[in-house]
Amino acid sequence: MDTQLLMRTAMLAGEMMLCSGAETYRVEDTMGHILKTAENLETAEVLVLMTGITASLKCRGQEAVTMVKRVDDRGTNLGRIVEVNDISRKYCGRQISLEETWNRLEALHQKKYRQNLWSIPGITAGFSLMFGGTFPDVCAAALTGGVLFAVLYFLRRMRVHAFIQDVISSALIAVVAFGISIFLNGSVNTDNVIISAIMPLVPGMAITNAVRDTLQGDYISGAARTLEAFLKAAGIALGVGIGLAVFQRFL
Amino acid sequence: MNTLLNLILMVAGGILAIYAFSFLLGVPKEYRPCAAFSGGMGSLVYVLGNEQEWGTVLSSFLSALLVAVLSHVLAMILKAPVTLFLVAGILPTVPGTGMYQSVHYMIEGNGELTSYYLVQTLETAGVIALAIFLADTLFGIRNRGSWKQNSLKYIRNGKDRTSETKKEEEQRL
Repeated sequence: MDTQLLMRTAMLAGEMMLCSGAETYRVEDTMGHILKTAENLETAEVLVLMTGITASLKCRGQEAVTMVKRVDDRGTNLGRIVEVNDISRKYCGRQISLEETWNRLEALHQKKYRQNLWSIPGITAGFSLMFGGTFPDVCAAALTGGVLFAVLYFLRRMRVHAFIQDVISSALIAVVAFGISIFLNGSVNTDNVIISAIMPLVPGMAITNAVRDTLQGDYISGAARTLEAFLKAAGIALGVGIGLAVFQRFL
Repeated sequence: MNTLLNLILMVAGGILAIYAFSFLLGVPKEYRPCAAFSGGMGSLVYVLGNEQEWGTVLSSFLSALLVAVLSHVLAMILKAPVTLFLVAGILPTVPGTGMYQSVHYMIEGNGELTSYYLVQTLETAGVIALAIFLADTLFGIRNRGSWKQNSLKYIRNGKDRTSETKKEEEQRL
């Protein structure tokens, strides 16, 4: 068995999962499973942090293979986690060969992924309804969601820093919500509209993963994700604050 | 009667929001209804709790706990990662309201309400964490150090294992 290829396969699987927002233990688990299929295995160790992966494999009669991978680009794509999980399970269940696994993972890696931002108006309208909004509120929330979608799409295209993205988009949310309220002579509950519109930005994913990582004993990743959640919340708060302040000062 | 209608509308809103959110999170097509279901149950408890005036923190906790348990059950039935249902379902309880209100009152210069909502936000985040923690412990899914994964074991010990791989494994042992 080609130890190098095995290592590269495990690393690719791990990298893709970590980039898609998988919990640390899941990445370690999957990579560990793949590495443990090596023949004459002596040791296989995987260390995953939120920002990078280290893995080492030693087989009897061979030099140890070690790889380090720095992971910068972290997003959310739960579908990809499921797909990688599926491929690795098939490989570990001996249903597909190592080469086939590598090819499939590589094909998955090449596949461009765009977040489905267009669903944002649906999210904001739904949350507005859930938070007890009236019909005008829901419509206003959907409209604000549309603006949020356009802004986020533009900012992602420009590759603006994530924190700045949060600040700008939530500031715009506040401004647009107040604008709609003035346009409709105050028949819209701006609180409801703004709260619903910031829901697509809130760090739900970061909170969930932070808890699960910490619980699992991955304290470094857990702390990092907690920090991420707080930073995201701070960005949103800052943006909304700017929007509110601008509105109260000048209009 | 009116309150019931309101309740149904709110839960419908929650389901719509979570279904739309599952697109944003990239949940695969076949799991989207389940994610929306778990989100709907979460919002039902959350809305009910607010209606009964249990307070935001307690209703968030109960809602998150239900979602977390439900996600584990769904994940076991469908053999899919728990995260799929957990992240989507937890969203109705994430303290967006508290975040907004604390900033709102900060801008208005109302220190008392600012700290009230700030504390409420932190508490809500805390109880969500607690709920996920409880459900994870309850289901005891992961044992450190043993590379345990139930569904994988199932594949290994099942029909797919040929006599050849069996021999290989015995040799390795």
